[in-house]
Amino acid sequence: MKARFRWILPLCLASWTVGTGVALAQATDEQVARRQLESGRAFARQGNYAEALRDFRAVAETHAATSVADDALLEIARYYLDVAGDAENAAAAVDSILKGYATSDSAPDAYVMAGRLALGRGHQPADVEAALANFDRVSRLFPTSGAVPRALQLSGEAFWYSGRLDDALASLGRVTAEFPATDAAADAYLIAGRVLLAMGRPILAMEELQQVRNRWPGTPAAEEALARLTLLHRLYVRAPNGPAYTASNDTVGPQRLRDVTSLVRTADRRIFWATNSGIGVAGGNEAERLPVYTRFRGITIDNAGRLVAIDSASLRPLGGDDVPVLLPDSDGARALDNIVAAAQLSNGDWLVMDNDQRAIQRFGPDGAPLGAFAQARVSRIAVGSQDQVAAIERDGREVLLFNAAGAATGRIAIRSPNLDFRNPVGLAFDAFGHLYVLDREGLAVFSPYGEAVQTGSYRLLTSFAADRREGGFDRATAFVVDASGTVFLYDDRAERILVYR
Amino acid sequence: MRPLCRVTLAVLFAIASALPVAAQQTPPPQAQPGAFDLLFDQGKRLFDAFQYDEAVPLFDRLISGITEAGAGTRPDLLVQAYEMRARARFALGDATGTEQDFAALLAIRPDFRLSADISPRVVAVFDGVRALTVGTVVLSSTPPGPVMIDDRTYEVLTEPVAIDVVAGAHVLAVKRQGFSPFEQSFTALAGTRIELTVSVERISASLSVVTRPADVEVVIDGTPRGRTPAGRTADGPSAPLVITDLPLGEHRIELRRECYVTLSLPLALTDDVATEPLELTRAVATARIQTTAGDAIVFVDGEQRGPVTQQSQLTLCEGARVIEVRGPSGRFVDRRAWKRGESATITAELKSAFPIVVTAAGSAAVTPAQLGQAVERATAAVPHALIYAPVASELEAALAAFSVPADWLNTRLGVEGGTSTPREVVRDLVSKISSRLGVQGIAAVATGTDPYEARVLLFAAGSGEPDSFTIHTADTGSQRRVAEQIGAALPPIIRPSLETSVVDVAGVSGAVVVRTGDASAAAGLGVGDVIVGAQGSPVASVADLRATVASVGPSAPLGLEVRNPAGETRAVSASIAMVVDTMPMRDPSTYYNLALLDLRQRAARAAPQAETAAVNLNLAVVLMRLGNWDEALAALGKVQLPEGAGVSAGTVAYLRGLCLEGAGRTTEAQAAFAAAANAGEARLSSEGPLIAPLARARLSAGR
Repeated sequence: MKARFRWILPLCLASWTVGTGVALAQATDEQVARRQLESGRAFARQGNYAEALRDFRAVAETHAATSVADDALLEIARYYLDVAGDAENAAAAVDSILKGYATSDSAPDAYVMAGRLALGRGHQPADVEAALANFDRVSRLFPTSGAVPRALQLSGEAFWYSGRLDDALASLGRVTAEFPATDAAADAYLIAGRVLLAMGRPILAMEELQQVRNRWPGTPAAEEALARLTLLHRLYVRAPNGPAYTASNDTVGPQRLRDVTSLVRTADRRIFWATNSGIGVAGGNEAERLPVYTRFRGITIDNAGRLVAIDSASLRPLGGDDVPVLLPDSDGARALDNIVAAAQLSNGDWLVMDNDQRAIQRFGPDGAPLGAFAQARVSRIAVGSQDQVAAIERDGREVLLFNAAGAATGRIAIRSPNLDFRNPVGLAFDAFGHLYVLDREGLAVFSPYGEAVQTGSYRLLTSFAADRREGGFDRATAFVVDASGTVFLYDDRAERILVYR
Repeated sequence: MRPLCRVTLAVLFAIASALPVAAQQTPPPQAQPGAFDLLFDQGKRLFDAFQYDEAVPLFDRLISGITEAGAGTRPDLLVQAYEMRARARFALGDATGTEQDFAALLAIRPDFRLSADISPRVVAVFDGVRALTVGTVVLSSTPPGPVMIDDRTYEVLTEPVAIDVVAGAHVLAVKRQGFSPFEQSFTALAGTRIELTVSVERISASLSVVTRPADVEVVIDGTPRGRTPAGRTADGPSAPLVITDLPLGEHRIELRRECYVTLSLPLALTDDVATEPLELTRAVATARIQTTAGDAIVFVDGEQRGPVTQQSQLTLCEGARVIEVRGPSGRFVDRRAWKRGESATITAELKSAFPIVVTAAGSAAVTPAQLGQAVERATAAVPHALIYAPVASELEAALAAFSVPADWLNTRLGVEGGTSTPREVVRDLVSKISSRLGVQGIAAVATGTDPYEARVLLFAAGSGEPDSFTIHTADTGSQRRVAEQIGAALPPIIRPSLETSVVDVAGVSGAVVVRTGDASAAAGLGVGDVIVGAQGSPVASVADLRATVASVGPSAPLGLEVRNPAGETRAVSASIAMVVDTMPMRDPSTYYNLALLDLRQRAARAAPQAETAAVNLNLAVVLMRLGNWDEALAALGKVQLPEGAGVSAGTVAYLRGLCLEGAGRTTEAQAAFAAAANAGEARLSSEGPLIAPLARARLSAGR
């Protein structure tokens, strides 16, 4: 071998050694990553999310070049979105997938999550449009992905939020037609029921809901469908030919209960009441200790269905962080001392009415003051799932209607030839957007029409004002409506919570 | 010069100088057919007319011509020419020439003798020449047989044979089949006799085999040596098959022919052997074929045996046989080894036939042929579909007829290599191959690194999209699951209905009526009524009522117990209608290609109007799923449904719009969608989405 070529052999050997070493290291890296991903999933199945998250993070950060790094990020996003309810961290994980692994098999699920996160921010046009864009990417860019039915179903829901009812039905119809055996199809039928009701087709809505009963019997979706069917049946089948509600002999809570100012039903289906002195819960465990507040004003629920106590200067979610509600003034900040109503929008903003204010105030999820929501003095506020806002004018003559931006969309006169409510004391929306107005002596239900969210065009659907001897009431002070439309109502004369079905 | 010396010189001259001396003086005859004979006849006529001086030049020319024509040309005529010229010369007193000619003659034919009627003087000259030029060999051979001296062969029998040869050196040789070779040189002396003995040894033998019947393969010591040729008659013995050069000693001869028992015989070979006709015994089994299919034809190993009748009986040769029953609606395949004398009855249930036309084995552990048969066995329990390995020659001919590339389905099979074949091309090829093979569709099979896990694609004729499944050819559990999946009944396309919408309501025991149809309203059902009983059984929910309706069927009215909103109970007799329903378009558990075949068969049968509409409507749905827009449109053209709720005219309009859109007929599609958009309560299926919003979305997308 000539001297000048003698370096070639060692170089070749070295290259081969290094190349083989790299290949082996990659294989090992891939195997370790896969094992760690499976370990994390096993922890997650056991409910040990701390350990699960540690494993997922290790895969995503230490083995970022492996084929399962995107799966780990997706698991992280799922945890934050579905378990921890931490939108910020969920969004970060989703963002990492969409930027770093845009063509991976995790990308379609990441787009679905991005859409859900957008809807989680709120149901206002920008949020809905952002969500729709993400859902659309799934079926457009990944048409064979298993995430397509869920994306279509969520598109249908987003269209419903924005009042694009035809588009909603088209999206939902694609799910039920093309992916009839998926879980998303059951949810699509449930949402289609809402959409059809909004279109003024309650019977068609009921037929959609019954599909869930027929095809997914025994599932939570079937239970939800039953509740909604019961609600619609009461308002649209029973009511035209008779009373929508009949008093039952049931009661909730103690047989004698005094001075209840508000009732709420939380996501876990428990009914809480508030009196001037504190909070009680129906069927509550004796050992269960409910918080006691020194300057207690009442209770409400947040948009996740959790109980929130209203203190003089803050909103206090049960088991969550307090949300101080302070208005800026010349001295820096002033507490709202006389809160009479509070409700939360889908984006987490709080709408708070203080009797000392001339406007409904808006606060961010953390209590940051966002200014006046609407110039109105009201005694009760309710927020529907499409972010439609209703409020009882303080003088009790009208129910004011707003959109999520605070613009007035309409008003409902409750002193009219058809309805003579002189002492309205409560407001509530159900899952379909029916508006329930409680008077001390009666209950009225208003039906949303088509684009009611935008136009506020409600019509009186039914009212109930039975004689007290026939199971009626005349000193109602608070009420709540459950998913099946059952009304739980506190009557000061009866001194208990009455149940109307 | 003394006479003897003169003769000797003449002989030597004749032998040494190639004879045709006289020819140098006269030109040779034209080498044309018959010229030599004509010349000879002319010369002989002149000779017979005693015109010797004129005869000699003619014989000169003849001898010269034959000699120039080359060795071996007309030796007998040459001998006669020499004889005649010698005698002519003798008559002319040319003694030297006479001797030269006789010497030349004997060089050619040492055993020549002049006839007895020739002048003794001439004979004396001839004998003199002969004594100087020819010797005699007395030859004996053990064993007797042909012996060669130089290039001439003599048959030597048991007694010694005397053979005249030209004086000089010669070679004695024996070249006999089956004997050791022999060769010996010797010198013959003129006028003398020598005795020579040839002795050769047998080293091999030949065997002549005759069989009945002919065309029997003859195998000696395991080596095939040919087949016995046909004899004079078809059922008589064969012509002999001669096998040479068989070593002497012990052998085993086997006679084989399909459908006959193999005959095996010992053979001790010491000499050539010719057998008597060897009889082979037939080896056959009997199969009786039964089938309910009409117009079925039975094939054995790809060979047509005739139509299947009630008494169809097949005579089968012993061994592995493939019996196929082929009919217009499908095929049946029986693959088994038959034994002599065996008899069996085969019930042929014809299934839609999917020959495996592509086999891609991803592992060297299994050949494509083995894979095809393994999949055939593994899918044998699949109802309605016969996935089988076709007769290779038929398949090759079909693929060659359409120039089908080998990798045309690789992309669909997930096999590396090959380009993606467009759906339309696949559909066209599937239809052509199916038609050519007379089957309902085709199958393609591939394995990955696990040779037992096969991915199977099924294409019905007219389909460009396959159904697919994976089956483990060595796992009966997997095979059972596949059979169950494929055998699952299609979703109902026509169902009994009260034509009444009922819902569940919490706290209400029964099915709550929320919408009535014309018939149920006429029967007395009203919105808000609660159906609490049906056919004498309590109804607690919609599920109970659906089960009762499904079990009753359309024949009889349904007795209902109904409670009105006031709580009063009454009996209602409601009629049940059969309503059209549609299959889902993208149900992963539905085998659309099999559904297509099923629906085609049902469409071909006469049926009630509702069923015909349901079949054609669903045929269209399936064809749409498989990308065949034109045929789907044709099927939709046969469907007439009323306007109204559920699967109705709006459904047909929407599906028609989808077909037209798929076929690229946008304007017509928009018109169809516009019609569907106005069908307020029409649904895609009885439990499917509303048509109107779907149609409006299509309209919006098309603008």
